[in-house]
Parts: sequence; structure tokens; C-alpha cells
Amino acid sequence: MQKLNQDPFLWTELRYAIVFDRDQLAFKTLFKKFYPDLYDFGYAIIKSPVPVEDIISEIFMKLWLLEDKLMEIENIKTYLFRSIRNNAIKYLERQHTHVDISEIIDFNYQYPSVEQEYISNENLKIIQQIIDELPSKCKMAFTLVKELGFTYHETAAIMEISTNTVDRHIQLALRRLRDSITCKKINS
Amino acid sequence: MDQDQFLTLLNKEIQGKLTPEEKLLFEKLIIDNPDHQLLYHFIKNRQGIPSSTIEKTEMAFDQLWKKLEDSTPENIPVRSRIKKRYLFYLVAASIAIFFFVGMWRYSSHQEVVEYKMSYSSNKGEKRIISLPDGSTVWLNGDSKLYLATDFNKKERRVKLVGEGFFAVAKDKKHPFIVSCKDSEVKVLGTKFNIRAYQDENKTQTSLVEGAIELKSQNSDETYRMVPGEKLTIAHNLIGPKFSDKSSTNTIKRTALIVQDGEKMPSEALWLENKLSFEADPMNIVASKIGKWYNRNIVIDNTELEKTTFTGTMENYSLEMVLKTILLANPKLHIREENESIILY
Repeated sequence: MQKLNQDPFLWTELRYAIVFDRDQLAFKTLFKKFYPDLYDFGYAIIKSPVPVEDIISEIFMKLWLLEDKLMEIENIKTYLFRSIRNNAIKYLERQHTHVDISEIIDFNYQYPSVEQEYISNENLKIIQQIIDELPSKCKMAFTLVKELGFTYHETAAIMEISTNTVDRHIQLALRRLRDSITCKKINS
Repeated sequence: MDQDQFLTLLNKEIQGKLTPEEKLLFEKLIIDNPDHQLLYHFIKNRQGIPSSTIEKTEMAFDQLWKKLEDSTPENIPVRSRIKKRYLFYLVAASIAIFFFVGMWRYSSHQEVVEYKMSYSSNKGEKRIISLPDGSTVWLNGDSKLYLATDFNKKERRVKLVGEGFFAVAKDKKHPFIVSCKDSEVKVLGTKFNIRAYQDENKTQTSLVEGAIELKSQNSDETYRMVPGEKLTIAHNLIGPKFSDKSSTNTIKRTALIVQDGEKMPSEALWLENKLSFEADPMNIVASKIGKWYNRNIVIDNTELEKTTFTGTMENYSLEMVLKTILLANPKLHIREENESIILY
């Protein structure tokens, strides 16, 4: 754990501590690191707090009880977000039987609207509105890249699509944003 | 045109792919156009986590931990596959004990150990098992672990056939004992690897951390091991069966070697899904590859017993592994017959 305190996040160290030493602190470090983002991401899909909390705790229980092949998980971040996405879709499908939710999923991520140095609150609201109007999959890809800091490659792994498709989604989002900003002249 | 150039550059910037020249141009396009400026700042800005979320996270973790504590190992539902096996072994074991208990008492001073639960892995598969005492065992391909019926009462006794890595929870009152085909390892709390496949002519015990005592069946001598040590019990191949007390064997102590850039000694790298060889003779190399890829690999040249191979491979296909070994040993040949791969 000493090494962990020096470097806030080292997956290789963490998984050894979790698996070999059954180290609760290491497990908690992992949980705390990802919980807020996982929650927001899951909430954007399900839009109801309790099922999102249940899905997150189920995923982490599996990790602690070693039901998944922990040592074979190379990228824990991608693994966790993919698990959230898949379980959230499964949850919605149970609610509406016989519908392929993955195709019609309504992804709605709330961007934090705290006053920023360069962008006024008013402009942020307008940007949020433009994002809300993007196609759902495009919105998810854009959020994963922009707000959650994933690379195109990782985003592709989470959404189970190709890297090229991620690039197309990002291109579309950027163009719509730029066009709307220019059109509405919101900065003037 | 100018605007689309900005979008292309922004896309590259997000991916960190801007060249120095493009970066200069990109910066100019931002300064010259307030729309660009706004979009750029929005894309580059990520909000921090508000403190209310930190509290919420703490609460969520406490809830999760409570759930985990409530589901103590006894309460965890055992998967149905294991349940069926459990029943089978219970019946099988009780029948066996009914018939043989008398004989055993006469022929040996050893106590009869009754095993109930068993976990097994298929060829080419790995499994992590969490034992009721908090210890963890990884099973490599084609291996079995049996738990004694009275596991955790007086002692924690298990039997291993194949290869397993043990991370044993500390509990001085209940020694953890692993028996395998030709020896027994007694521990109090530690990490070690045992490779003891029935079809290989040796048993290798590698100690990563802690201390263990190894007792060989043949010599009744006890060997104390220190971390970083490996004990190999090699059987004389000419002897009849491994378990036969008349067969000769030699015991060799060596140091564990951690290859460059690795965290664990070669003996434990299979945990990280790496196929590793440390001066392994060809028969062990063939056996390791066979178990990893679930293929039958045969050595058809006794000379090859003297040839060894060292190396670590990750995400290799079977073809790539074989090619690598052929490259390292120019004298080695390969052919396929029926379903088997033959090295000669």
C-alpha cells in the first residue's frame, strides 16, 4: 500500500493487493477512484439512482469475490465502464421485454454547469442543449472522450464499436457544436 | 474550408496527435475566432468532482462493504456445477473410505484424509478460487483442488493435482497443508506456486513470500524453504510409477529467477496470462504448451531431453510459440500427425 500512497493509481499494484493480500484499502481506492464517473455514466443511461447504485455494487462485489478473471483485466477503467454500459442496457431490456435497447438507448449526460473561467454559464447551457440534441450513440462517444477522458480506442472498447466509428461520432459532435455556436453567435 | 480545418485540427488535438507545425496553426485559428475559442475551452475543460460526491462515494463504499461482510463464504451460493460435484465426491469418498479404511490403517501411519469439495479447471483455462478461510488459489489449466472435509477445523488441508498458486491467509492456529503426488507443503501464511502434474516427471515448488516446509513422501525428510527459492523433486523416469515408493528421485534447491521487466518469477507468470519457460527441458516445454493451448504435443527424440528453453510469451498464438521455439533451436523439427504435434 505504501507505493499506492505515492502514486494515486497503479492498477498492477492494486490488483495484486486485492487478490493476494485481500487488502480492503486497495479495494476502496479502486472504488473511490471510479465511483463518481461510473455513477454519472450509468445514470445517463438509466436515469434512476437505485438501479445504477445496484449495478455498481454488483460489479465491485464480483471483483472482490474474484468471480471475474481479475488478473486478465488489462485496462480496469475500460472494463468497468463497459460493464456499466452492458448491465444498464440489460436492466432496461428487462423493463421493456423484447426490445433491443442498445439500438434505441436514450443517453443523457448532464454536464456540470459550474461557472468556468472562459465560458459563461449561459453559453454552457446552450452547449448542453446542442449536445442533448445529438444522436444518442454520438452523445455517448462524445461524453466518454470529452468528459470522462477516454481515448478513441478505449471508447470503442466500451461501446463495442470500431475506432473509426468513434472518430465519426466525434467529428459529427464537433461540427454540430461549431455550426450551432457560429449560427447562434452565443459569445457575442 | 478554414473552419473545417479547425475541426480537423481539434479532433487531432483531442487525440494528442498534433504535429508542432499543426499546433502553431491551431493556436492561430483559436486566437482569430471567438467561436473557435469557446469550443476549444469547452472541449478542454473537465469539471472536478464536487465534495458532495466524495461523501456519497464513502457511503456507497460502506454499503458495499457491509453487503460483502454479510455474505460470508458460507452464505455465498455455490454454483450448481460445484454442488453436483460436491455430492459426487462426497458419495465417492465415503464409499472409498468404507472399503479402504482398514487397509490404510495397517499399511500406513498416515491419517486418512477425507476430501469433499473439488474445484477443477479445463485444459487451457485458468480459475481463481476464493477459499472459505480467506485464502486464494489460482488453478492453471487441467488442474484440480480438493478440500478436506474438516477444512479449517484443526488444520486447512487441501490436495492439488496439477498447478496452483497459493496466497494463504495468515492463521497460526490452523496450518495450511497442501499435499500433491509426491510431497506435502505446510504453511502458516504465504505465497507460493506448486506445479505437480501427474504426467510430468517432476514437482516444482516455488516460494514467493513467507516460509514453508516441504516434506517428500520418499525420504520423510523436511525441507525448510525461504522466499525466492525453488525446490524440484525430479523422478527417475525409468522407475515404475511416481507414487511408487521404490522409484528413485532427487531433490534440488535453486534460486527463483525474475526475468527483466517482470514482477514475479517465471514460475508464477502464468497468473498474468504469460507463458513462461525458465531453462525448461523440452519435455516440460511440450507439456506446458500442450496444457496452455489444449493440444497434444509429443517429443519423439530422447536427445531433446537435454535441450532447454527460456523465455516469456504473452498473447502468442500456438503457431507463434512453436515458431519461436524452432528459431531458438535449429536442430528441432516439427510435424503434425492426426491431432498431435510432434517435436523431433
